[in-house]
Amino acid sequence: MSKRQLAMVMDLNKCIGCQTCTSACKTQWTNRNGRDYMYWNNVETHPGSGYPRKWREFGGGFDATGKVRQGRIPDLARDYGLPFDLNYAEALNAKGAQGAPNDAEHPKSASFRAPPHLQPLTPPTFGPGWDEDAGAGEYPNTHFFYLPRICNHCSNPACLAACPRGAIYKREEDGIVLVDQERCRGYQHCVGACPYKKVYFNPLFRRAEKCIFCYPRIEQGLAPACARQCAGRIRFVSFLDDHAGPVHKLVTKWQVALPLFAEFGTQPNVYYVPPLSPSKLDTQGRPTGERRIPEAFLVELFGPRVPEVLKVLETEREKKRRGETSELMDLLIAYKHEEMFKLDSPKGKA
Amino acid sequence: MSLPENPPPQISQSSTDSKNIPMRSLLICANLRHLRFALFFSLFYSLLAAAADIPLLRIEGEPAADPFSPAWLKQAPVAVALYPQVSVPPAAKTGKSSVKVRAQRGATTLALHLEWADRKPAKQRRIGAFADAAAVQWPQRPQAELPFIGMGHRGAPVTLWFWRADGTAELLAAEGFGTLTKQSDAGVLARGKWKNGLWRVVLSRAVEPSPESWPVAFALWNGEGGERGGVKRLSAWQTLRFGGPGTTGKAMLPGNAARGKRLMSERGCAACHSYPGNPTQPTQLTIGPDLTYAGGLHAPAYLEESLREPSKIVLPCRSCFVEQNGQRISIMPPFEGSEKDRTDLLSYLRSLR
Repeated sequence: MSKRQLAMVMDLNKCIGCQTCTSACKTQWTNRNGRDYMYWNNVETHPGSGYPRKWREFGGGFDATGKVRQGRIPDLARDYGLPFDLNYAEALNAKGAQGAPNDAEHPKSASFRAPPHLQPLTPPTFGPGWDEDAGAGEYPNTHFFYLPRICNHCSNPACLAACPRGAIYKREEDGIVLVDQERCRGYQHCVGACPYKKVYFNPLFRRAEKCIFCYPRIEQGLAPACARQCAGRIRFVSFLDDHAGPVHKLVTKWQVALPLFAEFGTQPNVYYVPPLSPSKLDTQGRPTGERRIPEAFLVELFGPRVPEVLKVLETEREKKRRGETSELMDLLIAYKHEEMFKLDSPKGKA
Repeated sequence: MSLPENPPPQISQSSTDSKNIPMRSLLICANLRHLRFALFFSLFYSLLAAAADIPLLRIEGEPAADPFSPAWLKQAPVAVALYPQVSVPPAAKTGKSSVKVRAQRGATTLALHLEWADRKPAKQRRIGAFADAAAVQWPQRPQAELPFIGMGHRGAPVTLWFWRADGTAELLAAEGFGTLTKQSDAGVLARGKWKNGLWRVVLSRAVEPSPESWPVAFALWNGEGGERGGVKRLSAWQTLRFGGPGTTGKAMLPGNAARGKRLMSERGCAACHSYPGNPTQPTQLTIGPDLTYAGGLHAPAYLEESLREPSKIVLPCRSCFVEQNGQRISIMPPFEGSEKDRTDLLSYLRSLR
């Protein structure tokens, strides 16, 4: 356990699945050098398989005695999905591909062959967002929500526990979990042991790599790129013990932000405000009053406090609707983006 | 080309100190020079451990780089027993196996030829895929005791020649589990070739004029079986010796091993250590190191020392030690009892192979 812990809260009621966070992360950190297949940040649809495919079933984390579980290592093509290589040469430079093919101006002749569409060279079988927006349920009660995921920078990281070389460490000052690139020998025990499958093996450098919580930005007083770029303003970042910070307010004061799969035993430090959903409709199209996303499903992900949290959210939302004040709703609305981040505190400076 | 000082190995134990250490190479040249001082002790161990003597053939010129060269294959190999690493997690899940070893000393280089059966070669490292590999381990400093067989121990570092089937070779050093640190990409020449279910690998390095014998140990990794790092099979310390076998064959084991096994339960060893036929077999939460291959891997002197002084070398097992002033203090009490009990216990431990 580190002295202090920087943590993130994501409000799933506001995530629109635009993948701006994913793009911010990818362009910043993982768009080359063996990282092409990695998504340190991804947004997946639930119910759904997630990324890597069915990552929940790969094992890892800790058993009841506190012993780290090995877990499986995902397969590149089957579970992560091969990065697409597009047929640029064929589609863009082929004979007849100059200009827009317009039937009126270029009537089809025996010699004219339309260039192929721009498409992946190898037909993809899986990738991040493969089952995006598929969800579950029968019309009109189909449902899904978005779940953005980064490394949880756990207080009890399974990756760290699984590394026989001590190559993974947790920073004292902010709890960020990092892989020491000079100590790592690419054994990949951490990849298997992380129950969230957020440690990746770089096949080019043959070392483990993962989300670094944008620590170079943090050290400049900036929020991680995924949070700063978030169009839906769903991400809050501050120290867990900073009472003036939004994370402490949401996690400890209002207790509406919950860890994902706490039973893995790693004590994750990314918290989620569970999503409310519209009422189910009966056969006549009348609202039944029952939420469309089954509560049991949310409990499976975020634990037994889900029903309680959803009630608090509804109550506070109603207050706001009636024109009363609600500290919680004002916080979640995030009128000012910069107020979602508080990276230093009087405590930290002391 | 002898170096005036024996340079300290570059070994990093934590993420913080790894940043500041400059790269050093050419360690083994200096270190092997001192190994003659360890000769007496290695001889002593080999007698008691009944470890194989590996004859070192002195040749004109340099040893052949090609592992399939007749210059190698005409030499009779010595089979060395390998045991799965089960002392610390993550443990190897295979059984016992062996590696055939040949050794040659040329004008400037010392070369070891390793041969073992492998139905399918694994030559690449990818996501979830590991390459076959082999390593030769040497003690690094002259002293009155051999380093712990598993990567040495604090104050007793080892040097390793490491070959991987993806074509890489490294000179490494270690001072205990988890401390393995690359010294150089150069310095060790290694070439491996797989043919008809056999790996043959030559590892060589320029060394100082040789002493008459020195301790050496081996390890193999089967890539397609997921073996890498500590998930490996390793040998006990062997003796590399000019002029062929001196003391092969099993030494007499004094003591009553059957009574020793009963004592394992009576003295409480069984509560923390797993070993074949342990009635309480603490598999869920093994506190002390697994003893299944204790006799095969460890010299009798080491086993004797572990009973007498459990805190001398403490492995990084879970909840088996407390830390005081940076020192690991084993929770195992030192052995107290009659000489007969001690001899019988040791006799049983040595039979575990």
